[in-house]
Amino acid sequence: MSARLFGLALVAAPLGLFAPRAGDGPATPAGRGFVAVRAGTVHLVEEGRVLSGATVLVKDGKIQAVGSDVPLPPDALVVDYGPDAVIVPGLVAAYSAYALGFPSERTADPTLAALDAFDTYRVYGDALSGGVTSAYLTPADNRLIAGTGAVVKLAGQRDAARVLSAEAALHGAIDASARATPGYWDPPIPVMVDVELGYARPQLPRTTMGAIVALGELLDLAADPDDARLVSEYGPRTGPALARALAARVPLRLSASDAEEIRALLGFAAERRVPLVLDRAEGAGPVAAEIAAAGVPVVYRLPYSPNAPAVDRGKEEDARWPTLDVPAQLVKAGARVAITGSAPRDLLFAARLASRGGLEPAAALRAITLAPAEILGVAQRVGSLRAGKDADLCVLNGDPLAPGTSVLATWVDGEVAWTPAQHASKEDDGRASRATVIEVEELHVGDGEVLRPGQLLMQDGRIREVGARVSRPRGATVVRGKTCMPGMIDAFGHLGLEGSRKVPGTDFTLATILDPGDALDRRVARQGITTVVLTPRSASDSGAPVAAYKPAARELDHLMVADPAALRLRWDDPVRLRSGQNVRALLAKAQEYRQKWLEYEQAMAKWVPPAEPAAEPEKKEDEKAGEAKEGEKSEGEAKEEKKEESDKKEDKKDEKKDSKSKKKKGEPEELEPDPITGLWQADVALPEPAAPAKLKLRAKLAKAGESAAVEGNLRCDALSATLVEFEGWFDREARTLTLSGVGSRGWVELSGELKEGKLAIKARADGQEHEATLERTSKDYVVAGRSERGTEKSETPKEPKGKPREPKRDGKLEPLRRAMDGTAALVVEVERARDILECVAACNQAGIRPVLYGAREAHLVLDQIAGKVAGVLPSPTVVVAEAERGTDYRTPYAELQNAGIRVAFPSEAEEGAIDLPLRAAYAVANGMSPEGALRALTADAAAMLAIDGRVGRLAPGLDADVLLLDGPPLDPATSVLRAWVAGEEVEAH
Amino acid sequence: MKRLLATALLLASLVAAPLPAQQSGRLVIEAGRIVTQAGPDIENGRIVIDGGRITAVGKAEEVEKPWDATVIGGKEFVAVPGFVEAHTSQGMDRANENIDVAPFLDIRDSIDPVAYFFEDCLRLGITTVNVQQGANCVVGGRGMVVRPVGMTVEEMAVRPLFGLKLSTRPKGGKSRATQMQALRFAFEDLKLYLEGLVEKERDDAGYAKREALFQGRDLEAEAAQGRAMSGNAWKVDGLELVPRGALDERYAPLLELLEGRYTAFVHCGDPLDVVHALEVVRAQGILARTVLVIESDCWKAADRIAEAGVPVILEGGLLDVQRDPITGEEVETFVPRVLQEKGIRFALSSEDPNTRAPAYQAALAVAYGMERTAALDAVTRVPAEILGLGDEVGSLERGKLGNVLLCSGDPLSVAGWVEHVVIEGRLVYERAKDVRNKHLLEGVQPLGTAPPTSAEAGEDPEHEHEKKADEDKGGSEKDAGDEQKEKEDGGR
Amino acid sequence: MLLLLAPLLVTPSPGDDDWTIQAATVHTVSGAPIENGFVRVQGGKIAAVGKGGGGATLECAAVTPGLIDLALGIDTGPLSVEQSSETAARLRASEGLDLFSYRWERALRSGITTALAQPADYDVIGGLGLVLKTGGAPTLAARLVKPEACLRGAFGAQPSNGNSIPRFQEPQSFYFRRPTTRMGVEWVFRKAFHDTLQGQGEDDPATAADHAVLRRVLAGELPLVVQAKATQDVRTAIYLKEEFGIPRMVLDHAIEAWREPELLKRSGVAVILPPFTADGRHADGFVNDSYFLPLDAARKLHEWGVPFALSAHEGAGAGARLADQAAAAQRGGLPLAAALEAVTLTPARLLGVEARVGSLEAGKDADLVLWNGPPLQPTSRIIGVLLQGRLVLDPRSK
Repeated sequence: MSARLFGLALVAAPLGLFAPRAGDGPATPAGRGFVAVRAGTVHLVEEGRVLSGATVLVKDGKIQAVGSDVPLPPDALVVDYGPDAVIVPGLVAAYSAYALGFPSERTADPTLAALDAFDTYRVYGDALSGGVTSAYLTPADNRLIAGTGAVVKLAGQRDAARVLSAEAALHGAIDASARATPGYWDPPIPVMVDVELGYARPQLPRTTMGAIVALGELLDLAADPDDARLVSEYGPRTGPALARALAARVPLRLSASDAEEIRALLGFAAERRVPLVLDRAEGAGPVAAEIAAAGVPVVYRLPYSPNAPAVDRGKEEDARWPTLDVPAQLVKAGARVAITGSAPRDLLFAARLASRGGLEPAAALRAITLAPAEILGVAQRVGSLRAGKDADLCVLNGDPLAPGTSVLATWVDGEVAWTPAQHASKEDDGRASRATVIEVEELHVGDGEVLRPGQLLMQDGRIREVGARVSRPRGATVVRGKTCMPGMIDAFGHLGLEGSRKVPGTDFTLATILDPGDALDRRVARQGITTVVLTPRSASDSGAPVAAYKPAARELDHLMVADPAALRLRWDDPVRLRSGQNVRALLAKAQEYRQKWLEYEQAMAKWVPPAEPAAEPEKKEDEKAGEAKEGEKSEGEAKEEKKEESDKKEDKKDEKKDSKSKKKKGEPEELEPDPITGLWQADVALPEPAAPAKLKLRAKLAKAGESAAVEGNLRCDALSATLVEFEGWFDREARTLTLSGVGSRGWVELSGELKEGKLAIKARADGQEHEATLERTSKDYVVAGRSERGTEKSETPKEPKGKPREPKRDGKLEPLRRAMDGTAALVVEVERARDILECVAACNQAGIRPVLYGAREAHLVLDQIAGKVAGVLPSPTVVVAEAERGTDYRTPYAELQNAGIRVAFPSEAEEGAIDLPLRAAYAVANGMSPEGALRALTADAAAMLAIDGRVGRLAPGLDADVLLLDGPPLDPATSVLRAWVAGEEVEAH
Repeated sequence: MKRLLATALLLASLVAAPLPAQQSGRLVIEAGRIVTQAGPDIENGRIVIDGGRITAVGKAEEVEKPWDATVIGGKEFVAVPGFVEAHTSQGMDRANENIDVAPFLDIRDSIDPVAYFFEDCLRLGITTVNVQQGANCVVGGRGMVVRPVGMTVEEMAVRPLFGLKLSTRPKGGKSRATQMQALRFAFEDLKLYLEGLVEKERDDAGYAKREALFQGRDLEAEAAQGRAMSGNAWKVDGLELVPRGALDERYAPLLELLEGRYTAFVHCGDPLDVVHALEVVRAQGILARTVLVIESDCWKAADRIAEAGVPVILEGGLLDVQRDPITGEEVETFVPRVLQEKGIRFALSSEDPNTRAPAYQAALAVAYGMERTAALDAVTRVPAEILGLGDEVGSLERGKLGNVLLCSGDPLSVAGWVEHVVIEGRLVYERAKDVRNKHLLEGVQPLGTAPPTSAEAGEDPEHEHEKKADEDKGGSEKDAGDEQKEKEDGGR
Repeated sequence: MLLLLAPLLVTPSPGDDDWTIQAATVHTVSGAPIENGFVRVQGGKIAAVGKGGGGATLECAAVTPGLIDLALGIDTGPLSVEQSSETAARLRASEGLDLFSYRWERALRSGITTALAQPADYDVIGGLGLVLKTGGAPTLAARLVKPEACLRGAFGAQPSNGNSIPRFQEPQSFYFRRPTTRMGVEWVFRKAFHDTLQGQGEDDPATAADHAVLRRVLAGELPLVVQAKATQDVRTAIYLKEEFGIPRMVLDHAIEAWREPELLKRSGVAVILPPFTADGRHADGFVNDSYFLPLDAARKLHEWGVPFALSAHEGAGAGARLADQAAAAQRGGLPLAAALEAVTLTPARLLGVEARVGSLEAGKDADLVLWNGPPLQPTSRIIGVLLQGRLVLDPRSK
């Protein structure tokens, strides 16, 4: 115990190192005599050995001995981190941007030394906080040979001892980045006494082959530094410098991204016999064997940056979305691999991700310690725990690769260099009902509850039962697995906007621009994101609509979860004094508006309908009742059923009206697509045996007389198991429609003809012909019971006398009214602490618990807002380093949750949403509780956005959005095996 | 132009028309207190200056007064050695060339004798100024030490071709690495060039001899005179064969730097720059003749500086404020105290016009607990020594130049004004006659715009008009001044 | 070697807020300085001030009241400005105030314990300023001294600058206009007060609210603090003061007020002086012009009997600390006593908070500044600061 205390005392001392001070390194007792560092587990990494209850004996900054039974000198100072702690060698970052500077204008400049930019007076707390003690310094980027890289210690005395290798590599690239070389070397302008007028020269490379040629020429130049042509090509100093470096066997470290580039390099290195290190090597998977054979080591840079907004990787079918299995493949093939992350402090996390790709733990750990040390040629001093090596230790509070393991202390040269800072649906539509039972070892309900083992029954798109044991309907499919959890929710994403940057009005119905389950959507869902809370990329002053939907839903009916799900407003105003004015105003309006409605409803309650009673009013009424009572399922359903019926009615009315009006207006109008969305959408009644189908068309508006390009999709099980996506055109002269698309059973062709406002459609698929007529219907979907808008209007005229007048519906205020009823959310963008407080106050006063979006300074006012907000959508930056708090990284997600505030993960991207689980894992790696992170991805997200009546948990009555995992959720090593959306498994195309 | 003329006249009124006494070259200064900076202060003492040099300092009763000497001062005054500005980049039309390596530049071509700056120097009691090129370079030009009086650079010159500017702080558009690269290349280029020359010389030695003969030079003698490359770090054998005339003027100054002809003033923006600076000067063997011009942040490298034993000129603010990355607290460091504790010789030289008065800086040092004498040394003795003028200026001692300030009261107090400035026995500044100072202090209006009397203060539009017009004139004139200042500040 | 500054919010341990400060000189400002006197502090208030005294818990060369800066410049910057109209009397600076700014800490360390926060000067009539402490819990409630201390106005180039189109936003309408000349500014100002007197356009609640504030100004409840840099602005301000009979007017940033002795004396305005510069010039960023402030401006005002305060404007910078301004003023000939008053009691009086701050008297807030030498001299500095009895800068830490 006392030893432990002493340990802490010792730990406290070096913090002085952070305070600016004239003196060099801190004065820990370590300098004087022996220090024995103890922990429950010690990874030597040397041939993968792991000791338990071992001691690392340190003197004069060097390791004297490591072992379970090291005899302690009497005067030894013992630092015991306890039985749970784990000691691994100080991590070695094979990539860092600490020395990154401007590249030379030359395509190759080996004289640019990264070491020059190594600032020993800088505190590298960020890396140290991640257990990283040594790092490779990149001189510059974007050149064939950008300069000379070095390897340094990130803490310790400010002298040469901190330089592990002054010339670790000739750093360069042959991939796209190298092509950033200025096309011409510009002679200095203006010309001066000391600068004669040079003339512009083209510079390689522009292509991979160009790069290889240039490399070749450079080697020639090194061999013969006086070759006039090459000298004029690459500058006078390049040759000698290269020659010297190559003579010293300094390797070429070149980044190559895809297999072709790597092959090219391998070939080159073999031919010219130069030592080579492959950098980045994103696409090394396919050529792993060749790399291994060539004996070329690889510095694999993880293609993810989980601490930045998600990246859209490309929508084409063949777009290469990065995979995590590359290191594993390389190691399997027998190549030496070092793993690096986007930033040194994330090295451990990077290793965890690699292990998810199949790399076994020992190899993963080696890839961030000994392997980089060897590849960088500094293994004699760092990289593993062995007598004689530098005493660089990384003390962890758990297994290095376990999620959530964090650093207790970082030792450099036998002194503590860092310690944590002292500072927080609808009903079955008639299709054969499928029942699926999932049996798993762990069933994560989503709200924190976990069933071990757990079972789940889903049917008709809903979850019927959840428990340790559930009933088995006949013919139910049974799926067995390890873990299952609810489909994850992208709490603020753009998937479906298809790049659009438009900012529609707040009363715009996002539903109208969405297509159900196309290939991309399914691809995303298979990664676990089943619900997307959709919002335009930016909001106007009056705000923006927010809708919740399931991209991968097969059914238009399942597509929408809630539209609008919320209203999105912005509190902050560039003119600070006006911050929140618009919100306040809007809230005020909304309250009046709601008041009107309440009065109306009361009036309705009193009103006794005359002779022929209209069904509507009562419905309206207990609809409201239903809405008023929040979250109560039965009510909700009842409501929806009723609405459904009403909807059907309405539609009929609609059509009647349409056909009536047809007479008046000339025919052409009839098939004018909706001016806003350019949509046709309708039921196509195909004759038996085919089940009813849904056809949705979108036409590009065209001048009369021209043919309009038409695209759309058809959901019709009789024709195709998958959604059929059509393309075709509408000939206005002949008034005929011609469409064709590929279904699961081959081509499906539609041909239609327009006769007095009706579109007669012939569908031809696998031999059979189906016929149907299509009438244009309202632009509103008949889903999620949200078709009031259309119907109300159509109904108001023929109201009986004396019936209370229904207030005019205001699409802009409707969401707010619903927010006040608690059936929708209000999302407010607000950043500064003061604004947050005022915003929350304003909303509460209007009876709304808002969802804060952004909330940069929320941590300053945690307890003031706790319980007053529905939740917070923090910015995508998971880990925030603040100038004020230096190396003390905050994880807002964790802080908020610990304060009892719901959080959820916004992707702010389209298909980039798939990175969300990654980000959550990252949050866990940085202090968020795994269970909490899971909640944030599911139940909490749903709850704060008031869609928890449909999604977010594995609970009876909710939509069956279920994921089957091969391991514990949010463990980077876990991946999604299968995914169900609304009870339908999401299949690959 | 108009302004320049005005200033010229103004300055003329300050320096021209020497007192008759100065023909005899004898001047006696009497003061209630003499701060000698060389031993204890002298209560009510007397200084005798003859032929520009101090011939006697002491108590009035001990020092006898030459019969024909002019006497200035009196009991109410405090005499102080003229302040020494150890390093500045003001007083030039512009501070920087945009060439990376330009040792061939010479400040003298750029010094503007009528710049406000020199006028202000007198006002602030600065009697010796070291003007060097700005820091936005890799290798800058050669500077010069001047006295802030004279209508031509020649009149001003104290030490022409003095010092050469280097900078390890990344120049605009350079990163740390590229700056160091350029700095090393500068010297490598020199070496290559010299070797090339020697090659060439050896090839046609005969020609060189004839040439030398023709020029009437004696090569061996030249070699003996150490004309050959005699840098401490590296040599180029056979350089003595090369007649100096053959040396390209672009490289000559750098060579001379290595030979120890110039002091190297190396500008350091932050501690790492200090490390680099020391590395470079060591590599080139000119450590002995190096002075570091440092910004406030550089105190972190105090140990390195102390170890290298080079003096520094603190150009940045005396107070360094920054945040502790861990606790988030702001930490104030009084830089001179750090330097003092590490035993580093330092001179104060602020580039911030609001705080550059030497007296003010000394006062600040006292406020933060430095000894009065030590504080004053930092603006007198030490800079003098740094400039190699240790036995010329910096204190009031027999034999030193007669650079004396007469202040009305303690120069470090709010009441202490520089009343008279004597440079080398010549009375060059009298506050009583300093119109601009009067203007600064009392806001004297430009001619014809007297402050309105109570009568005029009424709402007479007529008057409003001319008043406004006059003020606009005044404004535009001031602007001209502003531009001038900007020029001086430019790129530092 | 480096003095670590105690964090602002020292958790109060028992007796933490009770001090007895012994000083060679106690500058009470309200009375004559007391040679080796003491100040006793209890529960955040000054319990007693007197001669001798023993049992000192803190000792220093001199004690003065906490300094007060009426132009600290810690507001939310130009963005805190209402753009929709050029008269926004009803707005409160408190709405846009950033209490989390580190610059409060700096101000506090430089001895400023009380400050006036106002809207920036892009409107002719910018809104209500408030007086608050520079330290304490970062909530308005905790720091507030006087919620509506003054009305802020501005003359000259700044409010009329760049109005061809409104800053930071699209013009709302074709008719959007704001003054673009000094005349325009004056007109807007005059109109506001004229309408107030006539009670015009008060059916619009906003206007009514504005007028309510302006009436309080006319009634003398609120001082009107106006920016008036150039001579002509000073005149305009004073003429308007006399035209509308505005009882309490303070000319802020009054660089060239010194040019108008007669007007100043006649109209009885007070003045806030901007920092002194090396060459006396104050460039006006908004027009190509610069105004002149002589070193002895303070002395002049003092001699004319014009009440004035010194200010550090953006006092966060190390260069322009309020104490340095006081030193500069003395260099211009201002007596120490007057200089001290100009950074303590006078500003307090101008905003009517002298009951709480501004001098060392029993019962006032215990805002003290401890010096290592005679106060407001270049050769001495602030070594300790107490804010409401709490030690925020510890003289003992070295």
